Amino acid sequence: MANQKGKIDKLSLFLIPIGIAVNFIGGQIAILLKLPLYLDAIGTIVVAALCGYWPGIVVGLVSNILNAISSPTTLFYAPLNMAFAVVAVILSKRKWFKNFFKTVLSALFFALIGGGIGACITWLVYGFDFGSGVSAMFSIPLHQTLGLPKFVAQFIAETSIDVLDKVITVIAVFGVLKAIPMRFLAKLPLGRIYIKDAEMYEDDED
Amino acid sequence: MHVEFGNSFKKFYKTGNFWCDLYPTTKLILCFTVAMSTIVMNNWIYGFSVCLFYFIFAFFTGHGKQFTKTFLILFVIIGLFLVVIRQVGMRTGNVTPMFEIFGWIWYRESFITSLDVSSYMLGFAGGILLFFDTTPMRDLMYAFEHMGVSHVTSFIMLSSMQNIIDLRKTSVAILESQKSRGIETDGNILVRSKAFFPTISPLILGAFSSTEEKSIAMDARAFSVKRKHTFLRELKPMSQIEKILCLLFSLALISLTVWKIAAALIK
Repeated sequence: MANQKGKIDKLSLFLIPIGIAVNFIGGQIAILLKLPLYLDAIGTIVVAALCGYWPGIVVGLVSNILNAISSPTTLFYAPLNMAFAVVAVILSKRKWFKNFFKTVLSALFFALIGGGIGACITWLVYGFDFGSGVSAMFSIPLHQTLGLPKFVAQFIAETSIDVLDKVITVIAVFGVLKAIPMRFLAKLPLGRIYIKDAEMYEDDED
Repeated sequence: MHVEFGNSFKKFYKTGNFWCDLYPTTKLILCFTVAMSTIVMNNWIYGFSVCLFYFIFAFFTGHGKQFTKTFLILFVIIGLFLVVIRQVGMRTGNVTPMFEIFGWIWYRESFITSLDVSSYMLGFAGGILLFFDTTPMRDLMYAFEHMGVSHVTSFIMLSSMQNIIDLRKTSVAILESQKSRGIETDGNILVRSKAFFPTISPLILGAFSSTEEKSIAMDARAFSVKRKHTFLRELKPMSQIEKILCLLFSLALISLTVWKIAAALIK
């Protein structure tokens, strides 16, 4: 059932395309609701939290590859989505997504990755200067009015934007993890974490 | 007529266009090497010349309209926006004024820098766009499977694309349903953010619940059988000329990279 020697079990395998599609649709709903946010990591975090490292990393990587069909520069940012998966698994194993406040707090880790690694990638890709995204509109005033170095300004701008984005993302993840039926969770590699009184059932089996 | 239809699957699939009928990996290597060469060159004259070539080539392959639509969006987001950003953000090194717009002086140095960066960004993006515009994903996966990549990879890529289409329709239906039961989708950012959760949650849960049935259905279609797969649609294998062309383009990119690194070290 679970991941053995890096192999992906069948149910996790079928959840990967859904995770990828959810990443896309999250962004699309954000556009429909006119939200100035990305919301494109929900699928990655949910699949990673339930299925483990490899399914999560695959969701992150393939999401960016498919995104590249219409916006090729997103390819450069693939490591971000893959890093989200790794962090999501670590936090899931520590049962952070079972507690609402810890879940909201986890947004800080995701925002630091999104902002931190994101700023580094932007810095490299755009010739060691500001990028051309929304963050540039915030980082330039930070650089010019406060006199912050360009990279620091870019880092602060990207992280700040990411905090709000990731707070909404992890709240959605928390809601989904809470609502998944127990019989489905039992079949997933990390699903046991989210089964209420799982230890009690184990004791009964013994 | 039925015999003719049946026989059509015995031949290699062809579109009749020289470029589109090349083997998918040939197109991938050619597009990728040209796209990467714009990054290595980091020169706006070269970068924009390559972009112009993409346009001409896209029309030649019959995908000009589709390519132009996507490329123009990227041109505005990456190209034009970056030129303005560099004029605002770059302060050091600006010594040669070019022109003035309502008291805002544009400098030559930051203008050239922005052209260099946007040309390689667009050069890279254009190459990838051209490849995906002229190569269906199923053909690319077919080529990868022949190279030894697992059929599971093909399933993930192709199923994801289908799921995106399906879930997009479902998300619109859910959003409309939620609107009709009184959820506010207009108003300030907080109100609109609140509408996000009742839309995304049923969408994900609905998609997850169908996974088990899909798993059983796929097994019934021998998804897990470990043996060589057959294909209904066969592509013409990579010819010797294509192999030589790929090798030449790859060697050219490697030489260009080595030359640029050496030139930078000598400087």
